[in-house]
Amino acid sequence: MKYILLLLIIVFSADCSRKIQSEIEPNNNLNEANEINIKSEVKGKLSSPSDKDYFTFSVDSEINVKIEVSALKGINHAFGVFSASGGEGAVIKYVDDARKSSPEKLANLTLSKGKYYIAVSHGERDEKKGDDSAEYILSVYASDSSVSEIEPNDFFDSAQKIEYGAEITGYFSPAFNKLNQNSNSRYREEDIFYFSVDASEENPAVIDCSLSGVKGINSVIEVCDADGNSVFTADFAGEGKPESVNGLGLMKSGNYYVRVYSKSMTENFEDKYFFSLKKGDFSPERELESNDDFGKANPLQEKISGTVSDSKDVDYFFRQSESGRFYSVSVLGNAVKASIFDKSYRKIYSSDNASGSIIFPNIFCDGGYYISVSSRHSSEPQDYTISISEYEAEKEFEKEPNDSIKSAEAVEETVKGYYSYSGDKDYYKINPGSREKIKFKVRGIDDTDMTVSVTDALGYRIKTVSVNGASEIEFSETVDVSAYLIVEFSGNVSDSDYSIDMIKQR
Amino acid sequence: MKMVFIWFLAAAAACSGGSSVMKNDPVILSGSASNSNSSGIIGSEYKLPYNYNVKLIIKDSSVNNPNDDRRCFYKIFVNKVEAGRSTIGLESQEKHIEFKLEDNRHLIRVEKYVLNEKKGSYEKVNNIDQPKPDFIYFDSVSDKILIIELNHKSASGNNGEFTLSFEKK
Repeated sequence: MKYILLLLIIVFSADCSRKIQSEIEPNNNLNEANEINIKSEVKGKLSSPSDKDYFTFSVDSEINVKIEVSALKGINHAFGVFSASGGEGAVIKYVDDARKSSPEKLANLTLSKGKYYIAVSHGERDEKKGDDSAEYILSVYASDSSVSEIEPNDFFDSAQKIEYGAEITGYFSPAFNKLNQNSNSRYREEDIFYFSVDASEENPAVIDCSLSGVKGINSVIEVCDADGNSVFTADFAGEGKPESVNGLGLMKSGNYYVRVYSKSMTENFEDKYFFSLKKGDFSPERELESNDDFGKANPLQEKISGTVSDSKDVDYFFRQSESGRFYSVSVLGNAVKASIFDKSYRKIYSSDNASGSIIFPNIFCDGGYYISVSSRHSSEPQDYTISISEYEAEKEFEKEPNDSIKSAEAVEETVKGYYSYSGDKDYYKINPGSREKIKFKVRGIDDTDMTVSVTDALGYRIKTVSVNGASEIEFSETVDVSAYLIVEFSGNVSDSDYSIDMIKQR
Repeated sequence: MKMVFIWFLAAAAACSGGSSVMKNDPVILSGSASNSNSSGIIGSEYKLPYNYNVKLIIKDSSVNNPNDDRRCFYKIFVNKVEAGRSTIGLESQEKHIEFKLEDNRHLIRVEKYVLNEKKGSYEKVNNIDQPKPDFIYFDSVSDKILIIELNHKSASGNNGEFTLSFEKK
């Protein structure tokens, strides 16, 4: 009991001994600034709407500091940090979260040897009103020495160099950067890093970046070229999740910038992020970001692998094709969608087959065609591989697109085709020239059910027959001068073909 | 001879469940009966068969409102086997189909299909809307072309009226 009492006395007296010094007014300009030390706290008041409290401290050698001004009830306050050499006109950092009754925090600021000022004032957003009764506490601490981010690194001209293979730790703090007046990123707090690239179109530099997830932060990585133009933006994962840039291909030598920021301008004063940059080896069999539109499509020969980060990421590839050749394209991936476009960007095929395998067995496009791949899921990255084989065009084989009456292909005695993608329909036009009774011999496809319809000259179905699997069936129908054959499918997309023979009956 | 013809018509009507056999040319029809001596009577007045010797013509004279005039065809069963379909046309238009049948008595049954534009396909009309009767028994011959006309009056109770004649030159 005696010991407990003694302990309580010690604790109580220790608490009482934590005396925080108060500001000494007047301290309303740089010349009247109160001197404080790093690792110290000071109390202050914003007594009037125009009150501004200045404090000054000196730094002997480079140090990372953490600055916090506690909340003032009903007041939106702010603070700015200046160097003595630059004066008040050269603000190093201005911190204002634009909220009443909330503390203002700056998790990391790198200061080199010199004298600095902190000015605590009213924020910009709300009505400025003094309160002579409420006190704030200004705290200046040395921050985590493991933090390698050098704030301020908020603009291209103050960007921090990052080396390949290095990892930088930093904070999404503060919430806003009121000094950022760029029209497309106004008030956004950004950490900007730069790196050098030696590359050409023939030998692109391949860059990977990764950014760890931070609680409460929906982070973004944006890579910009030397002129500040955005090259690639990774904004795939949600709040608290990591972001990454995989296989970004850079084809010009020079400096590139990486902007790291919180999408919704939220801050995390406590938890660090980890950002790393790696350089990979170029391979023609690996996709190069950004290839998110037709103009940036990666050239493709026989095989390429890639990753789609989320449902917003679309990867484009272009394959040159020779006249008279058919191409079979397979896309292997657990949850990807794929489409084929001709050179006029017209979609020919599309498939979102969930089985992990998409096959477009008979692409016939003079000059070349585009392949696009996207994810079926919203947030999880999906790997995929595209393989292409080419073969001599057979006369009987269908030529896609033929999925409507308008694009129906005229056929005579025999036609062969494929169930090329989910939802595929094949239209053929029959022109016997006179009213003829025709026997149709149909051979189906393994594991696929299909229907074959004969229409009138306008395309209205007269007769429809079902073909299950690879079975063979025969039926007859009269064709009045011209008609259409419509082949529809259900079941699994297949690289096996079907065939239809048409025999005039006397 | 005339009595024989009348007997034949009655028999045909009875067999066909009440179909009305119209006698455009009773002399010719009597000559088509298997027990008549037709060869010397008809001479060269009738067209000789080439690809077909039976032609079925179907029309609907009761439709005269364009809104009710649907695209349709008739599926034809000869002796209970599907033998083809007529040409396609509006109900008010003539549709036809030809067959080459051996000399014998035959049964033709018709089944009407109309276009469902929304579905993009032809659908068999309900039994209640099929021609009544929808069949006829007849005797075909190899040296003349038998014309069977069906006037399906869909707007007037779906009466089906069959008429038989031979195609003339």
